[in-house]
Amino acid sequence: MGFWHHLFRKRRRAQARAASSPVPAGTTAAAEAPAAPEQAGPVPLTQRRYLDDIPYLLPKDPLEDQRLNYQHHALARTLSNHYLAPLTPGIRTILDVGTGTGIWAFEMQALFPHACIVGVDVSLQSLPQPVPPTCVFVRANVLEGLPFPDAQFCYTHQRLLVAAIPSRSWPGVVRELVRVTRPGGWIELLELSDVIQPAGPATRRLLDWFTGISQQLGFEMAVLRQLGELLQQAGCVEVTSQDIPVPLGRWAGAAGQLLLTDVLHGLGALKDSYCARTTTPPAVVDAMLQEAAQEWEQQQARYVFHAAYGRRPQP
Amino acid sequence: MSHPDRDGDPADPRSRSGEAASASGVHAGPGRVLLILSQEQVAALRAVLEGYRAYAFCQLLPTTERNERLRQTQRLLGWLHELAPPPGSQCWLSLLPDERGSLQHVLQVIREQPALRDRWRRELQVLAPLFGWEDGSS
Repeated sequence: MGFWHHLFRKRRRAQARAASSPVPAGTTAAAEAPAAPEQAGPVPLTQRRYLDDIPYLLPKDPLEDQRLNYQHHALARTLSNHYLAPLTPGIRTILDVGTGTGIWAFEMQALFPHACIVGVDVSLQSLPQPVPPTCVFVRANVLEGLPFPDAQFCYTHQRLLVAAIPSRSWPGVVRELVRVTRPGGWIELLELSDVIQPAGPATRRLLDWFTGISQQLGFEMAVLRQLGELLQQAGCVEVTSQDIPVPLGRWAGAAGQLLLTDVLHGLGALKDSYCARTTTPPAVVDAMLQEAAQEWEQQQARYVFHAAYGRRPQP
Repeated sequence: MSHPDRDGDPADPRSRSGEAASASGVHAGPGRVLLILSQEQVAALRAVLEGYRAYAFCQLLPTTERNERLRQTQRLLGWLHELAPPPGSQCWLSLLPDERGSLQHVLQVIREQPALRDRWRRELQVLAPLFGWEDGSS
């Protein structure tokens, strides 16, 4: 734990520093899209709230909650559904690891009204209040193990925890997901990557900066290219791995605009945290973001997501 | 029936379309179509549908129509994955008309595009008797 205490002491010091500026202008969502995360002006880092003593790089505050809900809609629009595994109506128990605002769990409840859906997160403060009774939420840290017996869930879902799971912890986390899934049940992982295609010089510069610092902090993006292998190593069968290049930018219409807004706000939130750990001024990162966003439009870029799902084998 | 999602309510026990099982006890029911599949055809159909899905994610911009097609493909894959190993040599897949239509649309797209047709030529040959394609592949 020494490393994490060191890291988060740094974070708390960073919070005391001056901060940053918003994401580039002109990134609002299409009219029919859900409301984009609001950012009327610069949000000083001192105003963002982070979880203490938890290796989670993103803020945990209302603005980030808003982004997570927005991201949920962006993903549903681009991936066509809230899940990728070939589920059938028979599933009765669903687990969502890293449930955040709970929006995925609530919407899955609407799709599978006969299922018991359980959401898990290190903090339940992002859930709507009062918490709707349709789902059950449990506070737990997957890095420390899930508080469930073996073989409880027909379907275990975890997505976009790249900023919460250090690379060395991934194999253990996936084993834990498999452990709580019933034989024959599905485990699904979805993560973003450090790949934008095609990547011009501004995009490469931007990605290099973010991935370089992530690496220093123990968050290695390369592990996310091996989600399928991780499932196989954890004993899963019928594993399907897929790289999904999602259109990024207004060039791709409403769905591309949605993802663009989400990516810029997400990188903007990471920037607040990362700049405080480096000598890079936030304005330099903002300029990199703006340049990169222009490239995405010009080159019709796609952001690659990594997805994998597989089955816990029958005994 | 009102549904919370355009997909309908997949967990509604009244709409167990495509409920698949091997051997006896499965009936087509009103409006449904029974596909009788060999194990080899099940594998071929899974490969083709998975391949179409990967192709659509990579090549088609998100639209309402693409998304609907992808969800239907996903649902069909769900039924195919749930097919129990048959006691004989064949499985039964019971499809609603829209599922059957979706399956035919996907197969048509693949058969009409030379690159896709070539990639799954063997699978299409395996599926040809099931769908009455005369030349076996296109």
